[in-house]
Amino acid sequence: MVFSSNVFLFLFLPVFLIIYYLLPFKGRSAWILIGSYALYSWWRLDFLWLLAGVTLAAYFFALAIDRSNGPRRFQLLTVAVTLNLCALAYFKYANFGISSFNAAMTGLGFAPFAWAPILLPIGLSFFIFHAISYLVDIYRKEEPPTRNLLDFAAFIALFPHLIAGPVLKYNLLADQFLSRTHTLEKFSYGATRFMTGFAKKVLIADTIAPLVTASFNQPSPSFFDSWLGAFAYTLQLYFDFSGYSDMAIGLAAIMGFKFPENFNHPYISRSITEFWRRWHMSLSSWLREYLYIGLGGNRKGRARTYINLALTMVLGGLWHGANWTFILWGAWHGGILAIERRMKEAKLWQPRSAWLTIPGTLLLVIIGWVMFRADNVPDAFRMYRGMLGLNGLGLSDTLSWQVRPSELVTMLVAAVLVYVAPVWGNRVGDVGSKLLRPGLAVVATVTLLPLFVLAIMKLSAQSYTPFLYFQF
Amino acid sequence: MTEFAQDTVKPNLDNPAAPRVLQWLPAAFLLAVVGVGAVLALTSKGTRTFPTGQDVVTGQWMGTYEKTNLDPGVPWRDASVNLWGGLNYRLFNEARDGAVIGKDGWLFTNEEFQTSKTDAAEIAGKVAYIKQVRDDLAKGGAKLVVALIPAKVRVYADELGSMKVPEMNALLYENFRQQLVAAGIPAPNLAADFEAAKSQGDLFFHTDTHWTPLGAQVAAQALAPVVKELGLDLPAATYQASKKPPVKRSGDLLRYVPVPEGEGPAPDTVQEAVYTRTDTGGGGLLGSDPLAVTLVGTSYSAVSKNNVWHFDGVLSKVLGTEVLNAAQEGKGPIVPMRGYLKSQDRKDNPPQVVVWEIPERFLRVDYEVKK
Repeated sequence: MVFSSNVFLFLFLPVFLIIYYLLPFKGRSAWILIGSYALYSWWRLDFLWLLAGVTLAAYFFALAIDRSNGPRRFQLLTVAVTLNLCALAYFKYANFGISSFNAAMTGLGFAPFAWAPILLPIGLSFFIFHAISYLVDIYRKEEPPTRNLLDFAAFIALFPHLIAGPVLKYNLLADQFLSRTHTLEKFSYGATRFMTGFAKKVLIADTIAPLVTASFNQPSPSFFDSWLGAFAYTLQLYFDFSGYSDMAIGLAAIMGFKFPENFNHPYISRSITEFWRRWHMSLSSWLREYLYIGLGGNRKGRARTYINLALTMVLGGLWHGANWTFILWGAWHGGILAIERRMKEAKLWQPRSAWLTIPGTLLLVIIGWVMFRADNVPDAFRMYRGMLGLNGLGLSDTLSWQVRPSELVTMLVAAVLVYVAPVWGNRVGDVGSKLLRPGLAVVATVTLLPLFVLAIMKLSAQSYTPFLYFQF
Repeated sequence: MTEFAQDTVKPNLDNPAAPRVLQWLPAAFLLAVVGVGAVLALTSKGTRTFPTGQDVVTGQWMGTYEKTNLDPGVPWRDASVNLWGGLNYRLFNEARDGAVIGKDGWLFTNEEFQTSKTDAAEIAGKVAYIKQVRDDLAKGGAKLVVALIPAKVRVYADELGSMKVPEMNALLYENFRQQLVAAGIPAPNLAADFEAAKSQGDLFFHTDTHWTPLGAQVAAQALAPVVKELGLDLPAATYQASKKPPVKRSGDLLRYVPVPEGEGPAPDTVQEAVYTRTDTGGGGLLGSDPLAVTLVGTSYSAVSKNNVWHFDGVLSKVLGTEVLNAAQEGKGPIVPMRGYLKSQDRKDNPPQVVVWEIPERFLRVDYEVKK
């Protein structure tokens, strides 16, 4: 069940909120758990055991780790994390591993290994990451384990972040399960964020989506085709994913929770290092805390630091999906991060004008997005050939009839929003921000309301469009 | 340091009125929209009708309920389609996905523009299947003639305005036809006949995917000599054509431009022809004469409420024999042929010749997969 759907908006949400607000505080965690499990089961009921199993395993292993000392403490952590990674590996990477193995075997003239493809459970990467971060935090004694299984299960399953993040640490929300306020101000803030995210997703990301698909499907994309497709995807992905994050943050606020921000104007970054402080901030934070530091971070010498940076991003890429495109995308970002760090250490990193560094960084990001979006590596390199002008310059006639003026205008509006929003407010969706002038804030809010209705009507007029980050 | 979302919501000291509005208006609005929407949704029949025979455990039931019952059934669905279709037309001169707007009120189906990486394989597969059909019919003593209908964008490319048909489609019609001819399957060059007949009137409707009665007539007249060259002994029948008064007709492509009449492209005017058998015979199941010609094909041939072009009628008239019409609407050209080959119609009326009408736009499309 996606947030931008009739079943969520008009059946799930009203029922959930009415009962949520009728219940006393002590009953709300149970209702969150029931509601979140119901929302998950709307996809498939038979995978609920996996969500519940990961939750129970994390809960009991955390208690056991807390009770243990010495090597046994590390052994328990290793077992718990390995179990989680095995679940992730089996459901997410087994198909990829077997198909790669079979490709090698058939290449050598051997018969392929018979294999029935495994279904990827929705949101698996996110709830596995939530569980791992909790276990590691307990092992590091950064927080005590919770004794309240209900609150912990409600945290893991909390529907605003269950399917596509943000990636949260339990200690960020633990206190909020014990005590949180529900005010009209919070509710309105949440409503504003939710409606903003909804409009970003439906009015912008979904409008641009067909142009992206058409461009990436070109057999020989020209220079114009491939750059148009790459720019369009750059905007689509941002408005799709940040729209989802706005909706998640908004729904959490409606329920009285404070979620951390997940985006902070990533496309105004002046380096890839800065980009990863602004893009999918919760994932960057997770990768830094649990992977980069786990690999040794910058404590094991200069060369190892670069390797750790690159490896973290490669594994982060692989987390997005079992495909060589994601591995190469991760390697691209990891490599640039390592180069940037080396340049800074060698004092080669000089402050440059924003007019140079922002477009330069964006160019590197766009090149990465092409690999991220392509169905496979040869398709990505077909796009790169187009971007280099090796397939001609002008718009292809196979694409031209598919380019709609409404898509181009939407892209223009989206680009303006991306670069005007940092000037106006702290975030694109933050129309109620303290940084906005009061009159402008009211105008923005009042403008948002019809946009929300327009977005609902557009949703009904178009076919089903899942969020891009659901696949991860 | 983690930045939390609501840390940014603080009372604004510059304008105390603004925060008060922001404190209640979005909440009230969201609750109102969701509440009214929920009531409207619950009153719709689709929401209260539940799928049967679907598995709940694997999510089939939920998916079916959402896509088949709830979403199409919400009361604001039609209004939404019309609102967005109308906005896109008025602001950007765009049709909804499925149609392309040309100049001077001409509309085209986007299927005629589509290309894909698998086109070559698809075309080769279709040629191979047509040869199979020829062989299958030959076992029963019947010949195959293909009526390859040129795409509307091929015939009326000059009405596209700034839009362009992909160059890779330029030779598609003739290449495909030549492959049939090389395989010994008669397939007249209807594209050339249509080009020559354009001055006589519209051969395709401006607002519809299909040909006009004149287009159907031009095709029938081009096919007649090809069938006669086969040297068959077709039972004779004579037909008289009479014309109905001209009427306005909104084509199927106007559904992609949901604006009130007068704002969008003007509907076509059509003068439907009625073909009546005038001799004393009567073939087929109820008469003594066998039906030696069978027509198989798509909506360009099928008997349906939308059919005002009556290709089967004009074909009977120009061939001077009764035609059994086995065409079907909405299934492409392959499925009706598969059905016909196994049908009772074929057993009851063993044909001497089968005319298979195939629109050009189906040559590249994996139509069965698409359906």
